[in-house]
Amino acid sequence: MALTVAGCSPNDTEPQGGGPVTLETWISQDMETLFPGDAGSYDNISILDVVYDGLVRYDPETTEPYNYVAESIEAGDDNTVWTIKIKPDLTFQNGEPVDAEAFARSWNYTADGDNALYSNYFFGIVEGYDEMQPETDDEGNITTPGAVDELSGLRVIDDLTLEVTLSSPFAGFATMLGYTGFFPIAQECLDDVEACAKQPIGNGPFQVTDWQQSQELTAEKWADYPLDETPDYDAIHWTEYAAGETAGWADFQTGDLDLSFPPTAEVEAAANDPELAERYVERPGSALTFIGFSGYTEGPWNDIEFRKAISMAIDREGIISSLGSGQATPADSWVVPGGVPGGEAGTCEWCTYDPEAAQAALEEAGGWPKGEKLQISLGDDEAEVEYFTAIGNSIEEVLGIPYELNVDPDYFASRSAQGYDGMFRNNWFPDYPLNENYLSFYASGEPGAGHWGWYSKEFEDKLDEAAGARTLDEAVVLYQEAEAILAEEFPTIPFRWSFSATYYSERLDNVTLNPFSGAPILREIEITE
Amino acid sequence: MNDVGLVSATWRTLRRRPDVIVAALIVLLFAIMAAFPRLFTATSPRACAIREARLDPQGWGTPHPLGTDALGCDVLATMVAGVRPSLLLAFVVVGVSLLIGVTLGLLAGYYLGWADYLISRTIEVFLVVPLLLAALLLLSLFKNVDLGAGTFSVILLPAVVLTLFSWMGYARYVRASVLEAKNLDYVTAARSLGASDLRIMFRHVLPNAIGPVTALVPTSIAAVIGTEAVLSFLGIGVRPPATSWGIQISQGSEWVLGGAPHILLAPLICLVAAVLSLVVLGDALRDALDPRLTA
Repeated sequence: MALTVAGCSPNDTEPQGGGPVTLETWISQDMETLFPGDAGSYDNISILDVVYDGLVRYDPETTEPYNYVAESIEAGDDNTVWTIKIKPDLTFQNGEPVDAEAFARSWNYTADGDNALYSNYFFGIVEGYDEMQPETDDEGNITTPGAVDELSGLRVIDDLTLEVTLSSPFAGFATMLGYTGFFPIAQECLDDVEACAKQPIGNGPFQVTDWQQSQELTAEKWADYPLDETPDYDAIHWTEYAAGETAGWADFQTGDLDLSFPPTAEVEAAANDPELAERYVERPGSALTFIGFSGYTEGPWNDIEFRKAISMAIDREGIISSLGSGQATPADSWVVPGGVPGGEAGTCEWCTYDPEAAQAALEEAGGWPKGEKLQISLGDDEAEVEYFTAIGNSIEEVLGIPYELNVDPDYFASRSAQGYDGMFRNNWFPDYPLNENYLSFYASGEPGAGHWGWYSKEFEDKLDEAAGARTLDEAVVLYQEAEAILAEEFPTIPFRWSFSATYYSERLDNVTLNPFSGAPILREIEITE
Repeated sequence: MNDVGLVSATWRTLRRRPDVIVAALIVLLFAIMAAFPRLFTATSPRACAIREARLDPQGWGTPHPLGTDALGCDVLATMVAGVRPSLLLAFVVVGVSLLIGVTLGLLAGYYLGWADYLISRTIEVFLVVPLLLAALLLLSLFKNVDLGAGTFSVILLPAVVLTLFSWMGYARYVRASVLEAKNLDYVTAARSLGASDLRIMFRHVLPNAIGPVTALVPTSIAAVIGTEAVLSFLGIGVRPPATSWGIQISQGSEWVLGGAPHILLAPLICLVAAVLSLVVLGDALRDALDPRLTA
């Protein structure tokens, strides 16, 4: 296999013979699908960004959405009924038209709970969503499939007009529409979803030609691409690396990769290399790593004073500066400050390191049961294990609470099944630029439900009120109030904002990073050779 | 030569060699370290201040004589804490293997026949399986079995697996010695006097056969310590948060080029010193004990 990979290296594609110019980049090895409605990870979202076009795209600087496949998106009087007009004459890579039907087909399929897709929950705001959800038993197996297969709130008016009726008003609906889950799909894709998940039929500037799962993926430029946001180079080749593997950096140094970032121990050496420093971009990211508690089990963590104690016992600055070499920012809010409308720093009152206040809070909470260990659960990722060991050490040092790490390869399943006892890692990548996106997933609907077993009627009422606001600006303010309620009740502890950075090879130019995911924006890159 | 004579003769041979004295002192030092870690450091290996991460060694008398590791834990404290699981594992594995090996070797060599057939074939089966492959396989399979965090629980799994694949050498050695010893005149004499099998085995055959095997012990202990380091390096030996030299070496290896080589060097030097000393001891012991090598 190494030979195949080497065969595609830039060294072999020197343009002497005028061969195709290929961008060499990477993803991690565990990517499972390229079906838009099922993509929820950093990797497939960044690949689908060049394979599909959404109704809106986001300005890389301001994160403001602008119409792309959509001609216009207009809200009715109370933000409940939305009319979407699509640009004429657009097609998929197989020739099928990108019309209102293409969007309706995609959304209906993803919204149908029987298909169990990742982006399903995004359609909860559309009328008719509830009737499409199946009944499940305690283990999550479907017992009775959803009654209908189409959203009643979705109406195809004519070829290029789609009308969406929401179950309640939501001023931010247009902002959501650039997210991967809202991309259109071709009929051919729906006819064979499995094939499409491996080799998507997109409407974007690149088409996937070959995907050797967990080895490599190639996409070539689509010659008939009708819109204008497409780069000049001819193909993109992603090499897949095992999570936490440092081989990517070695490949970058030998010239086999165009984009890479060094492993922790080599960060400093790279930063001190004047030649490399010229080929470096960074920007503050907007993914939040935070700590949640199993509110559904008995334990001291159900006392807010205990959660405050834990939060103030974590030396965010110290941990981040020595483990991340400054490649992250300590978090003291639940919405990324400055990154999205309504995001402000410092909304968390108890997110600064304060050993004495932490000890006092622990005392007020009644202390920690003797002989017990605090379990800290997280997924199987070497870098994160190191971070959480440091968090555990910090807690043990300040509060004297012994801890044990529970590294769980089935992290997502365990968390959904409320299978933890103690505290656990969470990470949130925003899907679209609105503070609502950082808050609405806390709404669990009833006491004891959700990932953290946390419920606040006041919080959920505030979310509903904000969704019904007349304008987006009013909504943003109301969402800020909802964040304040979260800050007051303190169910989760913000830990760290991501920080994105990458080094790039000599032949690249105009490398910029996506404000949400931190991934290099492939459409903007220029290859100079 | 009676038993007392053998021991004192061995001792006389050993103490004339300075390398043996040095090796013995090093082994003794680590043994004391395992038994009384407090003598060497007052710092707990779990007291880690992240703001003090990757400090360089600061010399004796300071809070961190050998510096701190990537998470701010004291390198000396971690190293001292790592001696106990490493040594305990080695002694348990060698002890149990010795017991199994000697028993089976004795039975096979003394009775021959079907007992010998059965035992010899079993030995061959275990011999053809490469130790590292088998250990990797078994330990990864049972990686998620939770055994608790006691000193013994953390080494239980590697101990079982390593024992399973290290008793064959002793069994073969003992079997060969028994074959040789049981036809000696004094054994035949004992038999003709009507001594029972058990008595012959333990009074006459075993004392003759045990010498060469004893010489194997230090070398085996060294091998187990080395293997434990390899397994921990691969992430399947002693489990964190318990610590061992292998785990420390694995964590330190990241930082060799990152400006903090002491995190790797400290446990590495200990490992090499311990293994080397044990090998020297084993060598000397064999010279002293094996009658065939004495001039």
